[in-house]
Amino acid sequence: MTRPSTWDTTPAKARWEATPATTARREAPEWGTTPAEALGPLGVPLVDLLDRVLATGVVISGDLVIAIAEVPLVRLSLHALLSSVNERVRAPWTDSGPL
Amino acid sequence: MTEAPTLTYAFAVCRGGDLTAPAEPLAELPGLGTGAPVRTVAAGPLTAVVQDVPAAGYGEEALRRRLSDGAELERCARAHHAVITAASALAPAVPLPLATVYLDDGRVREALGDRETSFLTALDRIAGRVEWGVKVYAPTGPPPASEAAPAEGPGPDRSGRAYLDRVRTRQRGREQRHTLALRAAERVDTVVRGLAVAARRLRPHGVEVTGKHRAHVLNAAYLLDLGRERELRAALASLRHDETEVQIELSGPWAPYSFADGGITDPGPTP
Repeated sequence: MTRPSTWDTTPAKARWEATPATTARREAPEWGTTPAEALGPLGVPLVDLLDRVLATGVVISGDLVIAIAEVPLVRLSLHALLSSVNERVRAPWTDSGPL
Repeated sequence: MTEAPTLTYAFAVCRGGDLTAPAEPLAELPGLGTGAPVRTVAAGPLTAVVQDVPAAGYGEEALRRRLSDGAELERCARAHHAVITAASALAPAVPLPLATVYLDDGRVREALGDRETSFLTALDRIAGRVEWGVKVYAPTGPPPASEAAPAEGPGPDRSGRAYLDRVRTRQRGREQRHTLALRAAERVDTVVRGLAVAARRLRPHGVEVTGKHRAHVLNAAYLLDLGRERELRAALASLRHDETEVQIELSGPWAPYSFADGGITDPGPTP
C-alpha cells in the first residue's frame, strides 16, 4: 500500500543523482489502489490539487468572485502556493541561487 | 432575524435525481468548517452541492485575503476537494472552481438555470469516468560525465577558444536533451490519449515547484472510463521502461476537474 506523494525534503538534485533512473521510476509515488484511499483529501499533492481547483472547472461565475476569478485569483494563489511550498520543501532551490 | 448573514458556497453540480436519496453522507462532511451542514439546492434537472458560509468571512475582500494566505488556501482547497470527492462517490458530479460563492440559494438556481444545457452535457460526458493526471519530468542537472569533461588537460588546448567550444558543446547538449525529453513527453501523451476519451494539457510547473534540477515537460489530464485503470498502469509501466530519459508520474483517480466545461478539450499536438 503506497501513499500519494508527500513532499520530500531532499533537494531534487541530490534525489535525482542519488537514485538510478530505473529505481526512481519504479519508486515514483503511486496513488492508493482503493478509491477511498486514492481520492482521500489528505495526501493529495497540493500543487496537483491547485492545478485542478483553480485553473479548471466549468465556466461559471459566482456572484462575488468574478473580480478575482478571472485572472488575479490564479496569480494570488500561485504566490500563496509558492510560500506554502517553500515551507514544506525547505526550498531546495535557494542554496543554488537564481538561475 | 438575528442570524449573521450568510452566502452560499457551491462545490459541485449533479443531476437532480441522483443525489436526493443518498445525500446524508454529505451532511456529515465538515465542508469549509463553518459549522453549517453541506446540503443540496435543487434547480430543475440539476442539484448543486452547497454550504452556507458567513458573509463576513467569505465576501469578496475576505475571500481574497483568505486565498492569499498559503495555509488557508491549502485548507480551502482540501475542503473543497473533500466535498467534491464525496459528491462524486454518490453520483456523477461536475466540480466547480474553488471559491464559487453566491449571494443566496436563489442565485445558485439562476446560475444553474442559465447553464443547464452545458451542465447536462458535462454530466453525460463524465458519467462512469475519472480523471488521471500524468506528469513527465526531464532532469536538467549536469550532463553525463563523458560529455561534461571532454579529455581536458593542462596543455596548449586550454585557450579561450577551447573554453568557448566546451561551453557551446555543453549548451548544445542541454538543448538536445531537452528536445529529446519533449519528444518523449509527446510519446507518453500519445499513448495515454489512446486510452482516454478526452485529454487536456495543464500548465507545466515552474522551477519554483519542480526544483532546479528537473524540468516539467508534460502536465496533462486524461478522462478515462472507470474500467481502464489497469490498462493505464500497464501502459505507463511500459513507457517507463522505454523512455529512460524522463520521469513519469501518475496521479488519480481524480474527480473530473479538468473536463467540467462544455466539452472543450484540446485536440492534441499538431504533427
